[in-house]
Amino acid sequence: MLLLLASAVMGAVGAVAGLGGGTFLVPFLTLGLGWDIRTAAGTSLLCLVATQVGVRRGLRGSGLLDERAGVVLGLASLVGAAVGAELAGLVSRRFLYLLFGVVSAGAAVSVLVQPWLGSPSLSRQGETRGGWRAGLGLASMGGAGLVSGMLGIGGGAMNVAVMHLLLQLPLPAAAATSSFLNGLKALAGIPAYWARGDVPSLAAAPVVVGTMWGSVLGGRLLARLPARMVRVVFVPVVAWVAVQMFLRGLGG
Amino acid sequence: MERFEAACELVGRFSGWVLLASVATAAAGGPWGGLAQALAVAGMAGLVSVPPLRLLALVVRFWREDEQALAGLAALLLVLLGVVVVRHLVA
Repeated sequence: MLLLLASAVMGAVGAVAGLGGGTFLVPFLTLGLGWDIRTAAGTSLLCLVATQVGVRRGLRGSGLLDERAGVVLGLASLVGAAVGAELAGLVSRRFLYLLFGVVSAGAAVSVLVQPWLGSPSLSRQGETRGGWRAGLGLASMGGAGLVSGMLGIGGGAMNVAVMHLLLQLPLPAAAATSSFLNGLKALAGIPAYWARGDVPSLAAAPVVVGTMWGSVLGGRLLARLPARMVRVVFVPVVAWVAVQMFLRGLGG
Repeated sequence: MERFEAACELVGRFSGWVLLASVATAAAGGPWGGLAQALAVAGMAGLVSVPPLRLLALVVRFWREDEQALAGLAALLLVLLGVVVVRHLVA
């Protein structure tokens, strides 16, 4: 029951910070509860599917979800995530901790720069660009998928940055489409974790239910909290997570 | 198609409740461990079945809207997911 409540808090915190649950859930399970990082990543991917199942219909109704871009970019994301999930079983745990530290640091920076991402100077609302931008975008989404598959995170910050800055999707559409991509990445990664025994069904059940509830609650809270407060509270927390994961990686 | 989407959402919600039942059963302890495990696996299987079903709906919708290329891409996503699952089931 405690695990369920704690996971609900992590899900809510992830939703409020706009980073998804994995950025907080994986460190909570590893640093807080002493889970193996691969088990935490496998469970986190399952939570990602669970939260996407809840939000997807609402997104379609909102008209924000760009399913065309989602299908094209989903191909690269899916392949990247499947490869990443395989790699997670091959590389050392120390490497996974270090990579998580680097990605968390990047996530902290992304929360910091969120207001500038939406500014008119960078945001050009229009069609998704083709040519080299599309190629680079596909490669980036493949890379984001790889990291997601390895660490069990949605990588929403990476997805949105690529779609908004490189492919020039409007920010709300990029965020909604990122949600669609997260579900695909998680689905592509789960079989590898499951086959390795890194998804403990009984222990993962309260985490999944808790994260589902938490993400719904976090979504409601997000609408009421001032963006500046979210940044002031969460940037230090994510930075602390980055340092702790980095130290765990260095310490072995 | 709206009905299909609603059905997918129902499967997702029902799976969530099955997982919650698994948590409650596990908390009861004793001889209920096996049932809790079975409920957990069933709930998770239900959850992960929803996104592929929605992808299937997307293939049909793109096809009906005369967007054959996108329908093909969505179908390719579905096939790739299937390949990943089958590869691990066989291994």
